[in-house]
Amino acid sequence: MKIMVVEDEELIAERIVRMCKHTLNSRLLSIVTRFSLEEADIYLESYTIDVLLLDLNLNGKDGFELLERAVASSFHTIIISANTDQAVRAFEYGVLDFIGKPLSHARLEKAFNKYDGLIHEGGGKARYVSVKKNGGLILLNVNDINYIKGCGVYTDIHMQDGRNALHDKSLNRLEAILPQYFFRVHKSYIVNLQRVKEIKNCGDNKHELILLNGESLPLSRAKYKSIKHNML
Amino acid sequence: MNRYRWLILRFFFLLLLGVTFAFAEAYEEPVKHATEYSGGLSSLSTWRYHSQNEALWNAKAFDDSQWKNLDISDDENTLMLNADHYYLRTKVILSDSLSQNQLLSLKFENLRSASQLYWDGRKLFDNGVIADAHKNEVEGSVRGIINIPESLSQPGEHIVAIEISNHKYRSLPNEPIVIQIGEYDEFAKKEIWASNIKYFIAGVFLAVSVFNLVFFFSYNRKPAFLFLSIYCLVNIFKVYLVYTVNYTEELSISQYDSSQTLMHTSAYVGNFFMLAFVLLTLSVPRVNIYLISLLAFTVFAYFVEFKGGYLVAIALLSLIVSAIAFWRGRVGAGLSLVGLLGYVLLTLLGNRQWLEYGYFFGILFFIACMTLSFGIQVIRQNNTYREAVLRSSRLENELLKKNIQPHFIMNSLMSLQELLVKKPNEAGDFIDALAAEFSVFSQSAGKKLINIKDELTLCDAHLKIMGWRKNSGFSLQSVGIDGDEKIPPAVFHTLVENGITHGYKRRQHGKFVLTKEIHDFGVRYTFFNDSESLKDNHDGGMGLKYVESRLQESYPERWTMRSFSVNGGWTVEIDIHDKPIRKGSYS
Repeated sequence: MKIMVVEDEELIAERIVRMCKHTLNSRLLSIVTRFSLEEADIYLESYTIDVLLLDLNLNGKDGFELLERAVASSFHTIIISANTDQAVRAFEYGVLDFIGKPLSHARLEKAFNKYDGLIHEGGGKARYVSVKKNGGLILLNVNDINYIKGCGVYTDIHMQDGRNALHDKSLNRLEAILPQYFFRVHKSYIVNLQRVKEIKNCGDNKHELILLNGESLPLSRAKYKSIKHNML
Repeated sequence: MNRYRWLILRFFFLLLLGVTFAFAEAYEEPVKHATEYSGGLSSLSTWRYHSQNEALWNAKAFDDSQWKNLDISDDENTLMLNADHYYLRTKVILSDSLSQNQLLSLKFENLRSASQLYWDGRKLFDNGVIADAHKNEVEGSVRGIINIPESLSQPGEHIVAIEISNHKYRSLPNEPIVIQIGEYDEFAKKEIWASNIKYFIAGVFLAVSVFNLVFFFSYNRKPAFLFLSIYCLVNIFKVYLVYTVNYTEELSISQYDSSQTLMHTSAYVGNFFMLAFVLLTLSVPRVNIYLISLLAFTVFAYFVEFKGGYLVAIALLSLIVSAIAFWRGRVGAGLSLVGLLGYVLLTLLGNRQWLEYGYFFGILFFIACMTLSFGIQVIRQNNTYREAVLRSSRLENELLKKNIQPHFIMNSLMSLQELLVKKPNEAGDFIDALAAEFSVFSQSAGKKLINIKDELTLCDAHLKIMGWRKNSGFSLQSVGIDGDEKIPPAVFHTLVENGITHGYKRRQHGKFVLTKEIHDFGVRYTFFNDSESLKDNHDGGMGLKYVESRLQESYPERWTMRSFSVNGGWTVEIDIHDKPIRKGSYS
């Protein structure tokens, strides 16, 4: 796991690094510390990371502007902040986890387990997906999403109104933050179950999902049973 | 709003003008010659008069047709009675319709000094001792009621003859003589009614006076309350005097005269306090100069005996002051204007004999309006006070919240965790600084003002903590500070916090300088820091709202705060003025 810590207070940053090393041991491939998001951007131009550990209040600025940028990236974002009253909002923006200060080993371990997909807790809590578009950011309401298709390391988000948007996160990572009614129906598809009209039997034990707008999506054999259960 | 105010003012002045003319018209009353009596109370105003005295002049059969006529209902005529010894005679015709069961009486007033009254030649009453020389004369009462025996009050013609000797008061201007005939019950009823009115009016004055006195001592020592209280006391005295002069029997002439003098004086004193009260309650600027001028005018008017003009002048001035104050939108001016107009109207009614005690009812109306106005003002002040208390507790809350806000505590604790591992010997100092900050916070939470040296301790502790957390060094210098100056808690602490949060990057050292300067207007605190002075980083956030609220609480309407970039840093300037300027603001 490659981690970047963004925290403007040096002692705290050191503490986070120390605890990550202790918690992850050999699973930790690299860990770097940056003291502002500008410095972080420079690093990210040349390197990739898996997890960003972000302090929400950098130099007294409103952290949600930074957060919007962070969650649009390919990596997972975990917030480490003293202002726990901001947790609900942060989750809605699509962070993987929110850890209150001061940090404990157990809590940090739980967050990394979430990253590994070991904990599900009934889906994520994101209500928005932040997407980079034309050099800026747009926030998509998850309820407006029909389905998401994996395209290599990227994903293609298909909206109810016919638009689509590319997201830097992989299908696996989006699945971890999206609510429970987003269902992995195929290795390349996540669908919003609220937009599914019916399951069509194509014979030969093959099935397709028909969406409300008439589009059809493949449904893998392995997922057929659990989706039937979910839709009932 | 101004237009309406102007309309209301015009309406009241037209009303006042109209009423004044109406009274002027009504003033020409015909003189009554009441010699026939058929019931109720009748004044005997037409008399025959002759100076000197002779034995038979009191006889019923005496022919007085050669005597001079005298109408005593006209006050001017009493001047004719400039004699040591004289007689008055008149004819009364009792109607056939008179009830036989009623006791008839005669009431006299101001027959100076001694008199004897005859009814059909029979002496009914001795008032004092009539004499031919000053030394033998004994003055009688100023008024009396004489019952006419039933045997003498048969229907038909009767003669009233009065012999009067006046050695004692001859050289002085005479008071109006009143002689009335009527049923005894009517005289008695009138007196009881007057007595009730006296107690009623005096009671209301006493209640208002005590109310205002209590208000003055227990509320806010506004002189207006004291003046209104004294005004009421003067009026209690005056009510008593008016009753005495007009109704009290068994009152000697000299007592009557001294009561008159006191009543006369009380009119000056009362009116002085009325206008003084109006000036004070409407917060007229330079009020002391006006009060002294008013006092001088009152004393002058008293000594030149300019009473009528003085009373009119005071009423007019009170109205003008109230009207100007009303025009300028002063609190309470509207009710003061209404009260004074009511006072003038009722006084005019009283003066024209249309309403007995009209003057006092006028004053009562005025006082009722002013009391209502006070009530409204007190309710307003009370609300303002309650809001202030609420604001204070909200500020106290905010201060405590600053102290325990998670951002500060949790980050400090997490830094401390790391410090314990990395530099355990410094961790102790860190805890000391944290404890110092907490201790000053908890001591000053409930206070409006604290010593500036405590505030500096607070700032120092905070800078130390942040120095460790940010791996920087912060210093605080103070210039011109004694240490005992009082300031609201956590004001500079908030500015330190803002400076560190917005102005400094990691590992950057910072310098804060607090300077105090004494100016003509008051005190100026300048708080400088050498941070990168970016305007958008000093955008007056929540922290500055706290500072503003604290300044407004402790220095209402007499503070300003400016924040601006200077060469090499950023400065916040707080001016605390000795006198109110305007609503304090942050720019």
